[in-house]
Amino acid sequence: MKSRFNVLKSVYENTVFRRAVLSLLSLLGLSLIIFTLARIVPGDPARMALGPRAPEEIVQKYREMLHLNEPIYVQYYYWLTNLFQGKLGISLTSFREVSVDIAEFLPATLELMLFVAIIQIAGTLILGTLSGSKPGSILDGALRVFTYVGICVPAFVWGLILQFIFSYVVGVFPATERLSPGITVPRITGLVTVDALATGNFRAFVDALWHLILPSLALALGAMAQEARILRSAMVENINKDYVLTLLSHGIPGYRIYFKYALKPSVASTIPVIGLDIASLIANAFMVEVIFNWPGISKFGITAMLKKDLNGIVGVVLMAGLIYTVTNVIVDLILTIIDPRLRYGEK
Amino acid sequence: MSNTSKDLIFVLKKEKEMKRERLKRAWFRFKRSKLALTGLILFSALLVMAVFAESVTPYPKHAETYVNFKMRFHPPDLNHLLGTDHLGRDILTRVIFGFRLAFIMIGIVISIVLPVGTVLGLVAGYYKGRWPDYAVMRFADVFVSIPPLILALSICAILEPNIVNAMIAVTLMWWPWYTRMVYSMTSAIRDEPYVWAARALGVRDVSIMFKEILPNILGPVLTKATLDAAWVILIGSAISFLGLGAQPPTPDLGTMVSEYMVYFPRYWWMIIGPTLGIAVLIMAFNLLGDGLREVFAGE
Repeated sequence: MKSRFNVLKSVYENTVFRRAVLSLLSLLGLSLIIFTLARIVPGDPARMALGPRAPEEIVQKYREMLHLNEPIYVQYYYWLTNLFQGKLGISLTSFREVSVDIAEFLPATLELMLFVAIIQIAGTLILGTLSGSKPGSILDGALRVFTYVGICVPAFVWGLILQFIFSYVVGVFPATERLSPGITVPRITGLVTVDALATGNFRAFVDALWHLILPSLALALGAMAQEARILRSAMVENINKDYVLTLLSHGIPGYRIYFKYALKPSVASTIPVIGLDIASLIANAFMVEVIFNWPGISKFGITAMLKKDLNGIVGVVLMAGLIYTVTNVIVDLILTIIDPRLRYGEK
Repeated sequence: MSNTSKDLIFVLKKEKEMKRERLKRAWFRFKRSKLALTGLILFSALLVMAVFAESVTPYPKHAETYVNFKMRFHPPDLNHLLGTDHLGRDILTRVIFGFRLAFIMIGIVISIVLPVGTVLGLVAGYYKGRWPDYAVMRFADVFVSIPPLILALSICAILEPNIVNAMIAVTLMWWPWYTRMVYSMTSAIRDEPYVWAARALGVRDVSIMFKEILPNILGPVLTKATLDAAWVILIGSAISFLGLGAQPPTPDLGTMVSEYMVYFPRYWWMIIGPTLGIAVLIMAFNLLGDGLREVFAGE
């Protein structure tokens, strides 16, 4: 009996759990803010949805249907109950349910994010460890320059540079879209690479991968430079510690020391930054998807924003908030697995 | 009587001297770093160019609406260092006017966000565990639960896409980050002995916040403001780049990138000016911020 009580207590005291609950509450607050903003703005949603030539009675009926005549908190209540049923309203740009639109465009962005995360983590670990294990080396100097350039160049500029060099000058990688014309993949999960593998279409898989490389690099480069720099400085601190010297004196090969024993304690300070950067990808993808004509969430989001499609905008904001929050909670969980000190809050 | 006033004058003089000494030392630490000095020079040069844009630029008329079809798509040469665009405007001129817009945006955003965010953070941190803490920090959490760019874009879209609304949107997105930073620093400092001493002497809460706590956290806050100026440029240009900020004839750097991207692979030089402009601006603020960090870290 007592042990069960202790488990419950530790769950409550678990900072990750508490933060997850708080973030969900923040999302509710976010929905309230964006809903209010979308409703108090001048303009009649019913008139905008039906067009200027619709007869007044129909507009009136539509208003009643959407509860637009009632006070704003009642509207919020109806909207929220619909939200929990997965209904976000009709998009004015595609004339479909917003959630259907998001479900169609989101996988492309998620695939991009996944790929960027892989590149970013691998690049950070390799660059950071290599330059941290030999401070002052040529690679270390190159990383320093790369970091400054990486901070100064926004993702969309990286996109333009990479597109110019690798698809127009050299012509190695395709400039736009997810697949070459003529290659089709049946939609199962929406992630083209996964679908291609699932259907055994190896040519499409390689083609999709080929298309992914440039946009992912554009998104990964800037953040990777900073993360590698943070890992490097933690690494420099750790390789001067006694235990590393002990390992060296026992004749354990350098790469194993650096990539295993010195990396583990060093990486703890880098993970929160990597996590935040990966979560922010949902926003940064907006800039890069436009350049590479990627049929992701930005295609839907930007069209909705430019056409002032309120339901679409609210949907995109909530979806981005959800993905951002969930990614952050997952990162918190990973951090507690790596660093046991964080598992319970300060006493 | 005269003795005490003499003493007082002596103390005041001493204090003045110490202040000057501290400034001197700070400047010494700052100029020790070559990167920080580069940042300062770059920043001042950009600022001067932005302020005197009309007299510095070769063709001040080209900044906004100007058309000269004879000169369109002219590659870079001595008359047009960065070439001309699809309407025959000198791109260098437009980029320098873009610097001016960027500085205006930074100035407005930071001068609103910095005081508001700092005061809210101070109050929340000082009354940690009481209602001002929960009210402010939970409200700040809402704005932190989404990447700033997306909410800023949506606010621009809902209001009306133009540069004023872009500034409003960035401002709305920015204060929670300051509040959170000031909050964590204040809640650490509020238990220091000198704060307890001030409280025991009966000093009012407001005075403790602004006279005892604020001076001790100002350094990191100012550093963050400088580094954040770079983020304001980034977010501002991203909003404009996506078409939801400044609208075409305005010489905004992000707008120019999206305008010129259409002609991209063929007339490649058009894109170089504005992208380089954004990069240089961000670099200047980052170097400057790094220098400031070293100054305050040495104290």
